[in-house]
Parts: sequence; structure tokens; C-alpha cells
Amino acid sequence: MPCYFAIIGARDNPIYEAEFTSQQLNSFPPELKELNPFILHASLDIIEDLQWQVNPQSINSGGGSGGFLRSRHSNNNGNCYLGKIDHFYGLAITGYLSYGNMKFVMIHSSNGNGSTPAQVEDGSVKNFYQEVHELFVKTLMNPFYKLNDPITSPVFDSKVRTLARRYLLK
Amino acid sequence: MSANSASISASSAGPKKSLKTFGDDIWKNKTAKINAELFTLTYGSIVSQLCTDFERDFKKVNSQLYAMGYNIGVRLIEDFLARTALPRCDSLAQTSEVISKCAFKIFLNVTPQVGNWSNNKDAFSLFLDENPLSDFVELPMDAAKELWYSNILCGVLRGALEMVQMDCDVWFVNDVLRGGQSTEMRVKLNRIMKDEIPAGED
Amino acid sequence: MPLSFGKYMNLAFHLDSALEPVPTEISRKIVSSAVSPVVTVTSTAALDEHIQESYGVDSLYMLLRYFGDCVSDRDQAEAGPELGTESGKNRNRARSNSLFQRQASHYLRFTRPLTDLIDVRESRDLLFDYHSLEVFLEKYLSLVEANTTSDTPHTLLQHSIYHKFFTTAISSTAHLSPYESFNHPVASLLALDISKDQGYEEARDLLIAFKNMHNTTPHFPAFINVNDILPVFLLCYEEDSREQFELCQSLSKTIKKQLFVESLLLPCWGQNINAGASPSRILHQPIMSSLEETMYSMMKESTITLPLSLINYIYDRLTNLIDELMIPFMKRKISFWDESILQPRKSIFPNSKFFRKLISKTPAPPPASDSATHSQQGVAYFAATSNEFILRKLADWSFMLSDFKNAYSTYELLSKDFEQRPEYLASCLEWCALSVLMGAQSIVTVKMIKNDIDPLINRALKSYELSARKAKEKNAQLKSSALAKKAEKDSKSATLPSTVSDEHSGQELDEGVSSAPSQSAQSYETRCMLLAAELFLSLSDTWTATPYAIKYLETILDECTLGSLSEIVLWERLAYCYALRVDPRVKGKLPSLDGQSGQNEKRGEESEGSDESDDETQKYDHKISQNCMASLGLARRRKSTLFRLIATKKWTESKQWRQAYWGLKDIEVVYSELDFANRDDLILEKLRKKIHEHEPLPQKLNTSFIST
Repeated sequence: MPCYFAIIGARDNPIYEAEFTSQQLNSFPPELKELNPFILHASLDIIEDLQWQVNPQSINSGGGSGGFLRSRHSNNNGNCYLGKIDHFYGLAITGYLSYGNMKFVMIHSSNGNGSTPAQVEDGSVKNFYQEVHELFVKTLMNPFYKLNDPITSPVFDSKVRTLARRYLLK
Repeated sequence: MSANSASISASSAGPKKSLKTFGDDIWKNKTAKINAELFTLTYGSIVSQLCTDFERDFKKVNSQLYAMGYNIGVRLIEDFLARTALPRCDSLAQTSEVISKCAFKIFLNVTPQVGNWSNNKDAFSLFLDENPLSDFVELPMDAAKELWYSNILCGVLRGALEMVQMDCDVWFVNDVLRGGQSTEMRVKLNRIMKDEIPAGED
Repeated sequence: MPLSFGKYMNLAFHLDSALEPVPTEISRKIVSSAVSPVVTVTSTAALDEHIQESYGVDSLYMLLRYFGDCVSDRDQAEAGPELGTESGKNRNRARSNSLFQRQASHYLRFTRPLTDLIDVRESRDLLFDYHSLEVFLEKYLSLVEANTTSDTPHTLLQHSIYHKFFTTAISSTAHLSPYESFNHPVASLLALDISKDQGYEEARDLLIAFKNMHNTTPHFPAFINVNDILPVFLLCYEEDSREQFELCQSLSKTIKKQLFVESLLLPCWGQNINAGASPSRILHQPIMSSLEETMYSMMKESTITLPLSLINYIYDRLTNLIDELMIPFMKRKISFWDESILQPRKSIFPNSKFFRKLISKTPAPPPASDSATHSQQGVAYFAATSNEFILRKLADWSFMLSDFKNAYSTYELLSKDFEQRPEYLASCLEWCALSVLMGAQSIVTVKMIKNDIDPLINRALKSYELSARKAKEKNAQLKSSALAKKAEKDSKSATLPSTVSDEHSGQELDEGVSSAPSQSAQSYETRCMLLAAELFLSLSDTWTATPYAIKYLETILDECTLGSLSEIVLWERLAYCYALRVDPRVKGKLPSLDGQSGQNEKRGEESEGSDESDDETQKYDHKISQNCMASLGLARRRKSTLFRLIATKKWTESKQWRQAYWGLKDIEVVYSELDFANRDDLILEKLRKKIHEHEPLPQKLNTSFIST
């Protein structure tokens, strides 16, 4: 199913955007294409809500004791994955928060033109997010990259697309 | 020098193998270590700040890095000799081995390859397979044409070698950050400064 | 000028009030007025002619219908903006403004004589017809466009447009439903013309005709009981003639003594009441009238002027009617039904012989379909005299009189009775939930919403679906038999109006078969959800209540057939719901989304100033910049703006440029700060280009426009 992925910075600006499609799947219809960034922007409200909840419901059970981002395990970032946070007329939107308040969001659409609601496979999507998170951290380590700047490196782009092929487009 | 060269080359052939283990040994036991990422990030912020300060004039950045490295090198040589207590090198070849297997090993835990000797043996190249200074670095487009990111190393080598009476020029030939095949530093010996009394054995 | 109920609903004509804030409690008032008691108006032919000569309206009914809605407001007597000199006189009269009153005001709806309604009544039980709703909306929007410019303050106006749409969708004065009694007349005005020498004979004839309606009218529905309608005589006379006045008085006494009916005296003609006498007022359309009448009057575009004194007389009589005649009548009936039917059921010993002696009527029959009669098509209806329907009437009338506690308990009781009849059950459950929302309990808590109201509405919706399915099956049976019949004879193409649903595309049926049962249930479902959504929005705890409203509005958009303009109006409402959705703890701290761009700019400058003091060269892009940090995550501004964006896009598709322009203006407030939103390939930029072809650029300079 075609996906539209974006990393959104602290000022609601997307620092990276990509659309993942493959030969067998159609890409997004044009009216959706022009609307996608806005849909992601709208889901930021819900991410913030989940992010700053004082007593969150356990989204990922078995992760940590205090809920989101308060896990005692320092070496797994399983708590960052928020799962399916929103839906919009047959599109599912999943989210993932980095520790530095960078929001990784993605629109999943179903294959059948929105007649069936999109299914999200939590396992592979979570892996995708975690690997992109690692790539992002590496980008941050680059001293020439300033936080909140758009990520223009083609290396990053190709790596993300490889990951997408591996985890998302099956 | 030539009179001693045979004996010393004979003696250097023997400890050649042990030079490596010698360097390894010192690295393992006699050096305090810091977190590599901290080191990388610190150096990265230096370079990035210099670029901002000089308003993207990378020639100036290069020379500034060189000057910083020079200052480090003239002091670092003392620390090196104190740690290793190595004797004076007889030839440029031996110098290159010491630089590669001991100096780089002790301070950066990398062992660059020595190669590409010039015809009259007065210049060689150091090939760095891994460069801890430039982990995770990607140069922006304008920097990629002019900036030598690890230029500080050149300065260090020059400063250090100058303190042991070797007047060398050190410069970068190639850098993977700039799209080259390998990271290569060239060391060229200009002259030996003979005025000083040689340290060590007489 | 302060806002009043009538002005708000017709805001397109009263744009001087457009800057007022959205009135609170408006939804409850609209619902009250939507189910207000219906009064039919029957008049003699002579009277109608006389009125037509004097005032240019077709009949007394057409005259009186302007005076419905909120009677105490006396809206029609309000001076228009051009009659400034008259306002001095008007201030003397104590004007009530129902918008600012807490207690329920009195509303009325007028309609044509019952016989007319029954004649016209179609076999479909359709509450509203989405196609004509769509046409109405289109006309209304073009009217708005004609009356406003791009710079008109539009926030309140857009709310008003939605409420106009809302009232038209949920209420009808012409539609008689077998399942609920809101549209069944409560009183009937029988009018005589004294100046044309009509007297006791005519009065008696009118009354007899009225009382015998159920015998004389063909297809008189079984669920209407004429005894439950209060007849009142309206004697119209000339004011100047003393003898006519005395005649009226003696006549009314006679009528009371012999026919046991009250009368009202209305001076319709006279020196200072003649047409053309000043001061006079131009009448504007009533708010609550059926869709057909509204459409008709919109297309006619002629105005009627009446002298102010006549207007005031009419209002006086109507107030009289409501306060002294109708409401006591309703209360009497309610208490009568209460004692005779409700109390025995609630009492502990319903079947005890002791109690039976005291009660003359038989105790309630077991809840079965014994009392149901069958109409033509074989659909079972409860007769008006059946206990179930009387109880339903009791509940409905309590609702009309704003006695929501009573209404709630009666609906609840009834819902147990109607278990087997989903059509009746659905309506009961719906109004049960609505009475809670209207105020059966003094405070509506979250628990109440989750445990009572929401399940009730869901059950109601399911019952509607169930009844639609049942009717569909039955219809299929009937259709097959009708087709068989048709196969024998030649079919004359009796085309039904274009609202036939898709299942019967192309097929023409005889009128005997009800053609769109699912659609009728759907129109009720739509109404139910519209009402519920609106009332949820009126609760004060918006954080918990708006999700329900959103859920219902989205269900309407997904499942119900509506015209495209109606859908867009609902999208805008959704955007408003999200904008309302703010946690009460931070409510006061957030700026509202109502296009206050000036405030926004000020905010931006302040935050930049504080940053600069830290470090002149560094800009801390990564810091969370918010005026009120505590409000992070506790509002849904971005979502609201997204829905507004979609609505604006749809407005442009339907070529409603004024609405699209206003939508764009509001969106700019949020999106202008974001770079990504203004990229060329995205929809916002495309919308801007399209809209600016049709509308002039806004006054304020916005750099994002120039940059492209």
C-alpha cells in the first residue's frame, strides 16, 4: 500500500518527506497528494496529546513502567512507537516520537482506493520507524547539520527508501 | 648516519614486528581513554563553528585548522616520547612506521597504511581506512570542494615532526568525505635541521 | 443592535449584527422551536378574499404564518434599519429578547388546514427530501452572496447559515408522521369574517366540519385524534365599527355557551390598520416553515407590508392564545392522560380490583399490537386512541412545554413497550436521549453521556436501520406483486419526483407502493444524528462532548445521502467541532480560531523578542514555541484547520466563491506561518489561485501571497 512518510520538526515544518510506492501499487491519487502534508500536520495535535499525557494508557504494554518515553530500559526505543494514532477516511496514520521531539509520521493507505480501511502491521512498521530513527540520529551527528534543517542528503534518502522497500511494501 | 644505518636497520628489522605490538601494548595499558563519540562531536563542532565564523571561507578554515594542529603537535610530541621512550629514528622510513604504528595507534587507535613512497624516498602517504574524526560527517555541497575536514591532523604531524628536527610538509591529497576513494595524507621531508644536538644516544 | 433569535436566523438580512459572538444555548432554542406546537388555520372563503383585497396575501393562513416562531420576541414589529425615526416609539414597548432569556420562550408554528395536509400527504413517510434541501441551500447561498461582500465579517454568518440548514433539515410543518406527534396540530384556528356578516351559522358549520374530519376526509390517518386538537375561533372584524365589535362579543359568548369553544377577536381592518397606513413594516420570512413553503417564498421574491398596529394586534392575540388557551389545554390533557394511563401503570397494584373500581377506563392492555390498526399499504400503525400513542403524545407534549424530566421518564417507559416495533422504538429512544441533552438533568456529566445518552442514540440508530430493512423487504414483496400487475396492463409512465432512491433506478412504480422506505428511515436517522451532534456541541464540557458530535457528523457524511452543498456545510461544522475541542483547563488561555490574525502577529513578535535577548546570532529553532505551554496537546486547532481546508476545496468545486474565500481567510491564520503549506504543488496554493480569480485580494498584506 502506498505510504507517505514525513519527519516533522519542532516548528511543524517537515524536514523530510517521501512517498513510498512500488510497481504493483498505485501511488496516491492527485487530490490526496496535495492534501497529504496537511493531513499529517493535523495529526500533530494528537501526537502532542499523547506526548504530554500525565497518565497515559499503556500504548505499548510491556515497554516501561511510566508509559510513553519513561521506560527503564535504556537500550530499546520501543516506547517511542505510538502505533496508529489517527485515521482519516480510510487512511491510517501512525506516529513515532524521537527523544528530541521530532515527530515521524506516516500515512498508510489501503490498496482498494479507500473502500477498506488501511491495515497497519505494527511489527514491521515499528521496525521501519526504529531504523529510520537510527538513520536520523546519524544525521544529527553530522556537525554541519543544524537541528530542524531539512534533510537533503541523498544518502539518507536512498537508505530510507531501501528500508521502506524492506519493511513496508510487501 | 650511514655508518649506523646497517646496525640500526638490522636492529630495526627485529623490533619492526614488536613496534606494532609495542604500540598496541601502550594503547591498551598506558593510555586513558575517552568516549569516541564525544571526541567526534567535539571536533565536529569545532569545524562547524569555524565555518560559521569565517563565513564559509574554507581556505581560511583549512589554515586555521592547520594552525591549531600545529600548536597541538609541538606539545604532543613530548607526551608521545614520554610514553614510548622510543629512540631517534634513523630514516624517514622508520619515522613513517613509528608514526603509523605507534603515534596514530596511541592517540587515535587507528593504524594508517604507509605507502606511495616517492622515488627518492623523501615523501610518503598515509592511508587512513577509518578516521575517527569524521564519523557520521557529510560535507555540505560548498564545503565539499574546498574543505579538508581532518586538516588538524596535518598540523599535528608538522608540529610534532618539527620538534624532532624534521621539517616536513604535510597535506591532504584525498578524502572520502570529498568523494575520493580513500583518505590520504602526504608527508614530504624538506630537510633535517642539523643544528641541534641529537637527543638520546650519542 | 443586539442580536435576537429571529435576527440571528435571518442574519443574511441583518448584517449589522454580524459582529456579535455566537449566542450560547442557541441550539437548544432552535430545537425547542423546531418542535413547538403546530396550529392549523382554517378560514372561510369570504375571509380569505377580504384579506387578499386588503393586504395582498392569498389567505389568512398566509398572513398568519409570518407570526410564528418566537411570539414573545415580536420580531416582525422590529424596525428595519431604514426606519430610524420610528425607533423612539418602539423603545417604549418592553421588548423581550428570547436569546438572552434563560427560561423557555414560547414558540409556535403555523400550517395549513389539516385536510389540506392529509390530501397532499404522500405515501412515503419522508421527513425531508435531500434533493430539495440541496436546492434550498443553493438558493440561500446565492442570496447570501448577493447581500454580502468579501469583507463582511463572516464568522457569525457562517454559523447562521449552518443553523438555517439545520432547522430546515430537522423540522417540517407539513409532514405528518405516524411515529411521533410533533407535527400533529395542537390547536386549530377557525376564522370567520364578521364584517362580511358571517355569524353563528358559519361558526357552527366550521366546527362540525372540523370535528367530523376523520369521517369526511378520505385517507384520514388513524394516528390523529381530532379530540386532541383545541379548536379556537378567530373572529375578524373592522376596528372602527362599534356594532361589529359588539356583535363579536355576543357571538363569542354564544359560541362559548353552545359550542363550548373559546374565541379570539382580531380587528383586521380599520382606519389605522389599512394597508398603506404608516408606520408599517415589511415582513420577513418565518424561520420555521416547511421546506416547500420556504422554497416557494424564496422563489417568489415579493414582499408584504403590514401596518404596525395590525402586527401588534396579531401578536397580542397570539400571546393570548398561547398563554391562556393552548398551554392550559395541553397541561390539562397531559395531567388527564397521566392520571388515566400512566399512574395505573406505575402503581404497584395495576391489576388489583380495588384500583379498578376507581378508574373508569380499562387498565393498560398488554403491550401487543392489538391496538394497532393498519393503513392502506398494510403497514401497522398505532391508532391515536391507543394507549401507546397517547403516552407518546404525552411525552411529546411535555417536551414541547419544556418539561424534560417528565418527557424523559415517559419516553423511557414507552421504549419498553415498543420493543417489537422498531419504527416506534427508534423515535422514542432518540427523543429520550434528546430530552436528557435538553435538560432533564441539571448537569450532564461525562458518565451520563457515556452510559446513557450515547447508547440510547446508538440504539435509536440501529432501530432505524432495522425498520428500514424491514420496510425494504416488505417493499420488495409489494414491488414484485406490483410488477406482476403491471406486466398485465400497459404502463403509463407515471414518473415519481426525482428523489427516488437508487435501488429503483429506472423503474416506475404505481403510486400505491411506497418507493423509498430506506430513504425515509434514513432521513429520520439523519435528523437524529444532526440533532444529537448539535446538542452535544452545546454542552459546556466541550472536551468530552465534541467527540460524540464529531462521530455523528462523520456518520452522516459517510452513510447518508445528502446533496453536495449540504455535505460541505457539514464539513464546516466538523471543523467548528474540532475548534471547540479544547480541554477546559486551558480554555481561557488559547486564542480562538476566529480569524484574529492581528493578535497572531502580535504574538509572533513577542516571542521573537524574547529569543533575541538570549543570543543575537543563534535562533533556537528547536525550542517548543507556544504561548501557553500547558496547552500542548489539549486542543485540536490543526485538525480543525484541516477540515476547514477540505471544506474550502469543496466550496470551490461547487463554485461558491464567497464561502470559499471566507474559508481561505480563516485558514490563512494558521497556515501562513508554515512554509510547507505554501508550496506550489500543494492544495493551499492551488486554492488561492483559483479563489483569487473570482474574488479580490484581501486588504491585509500577506507576504506569502507575494512570494509566489
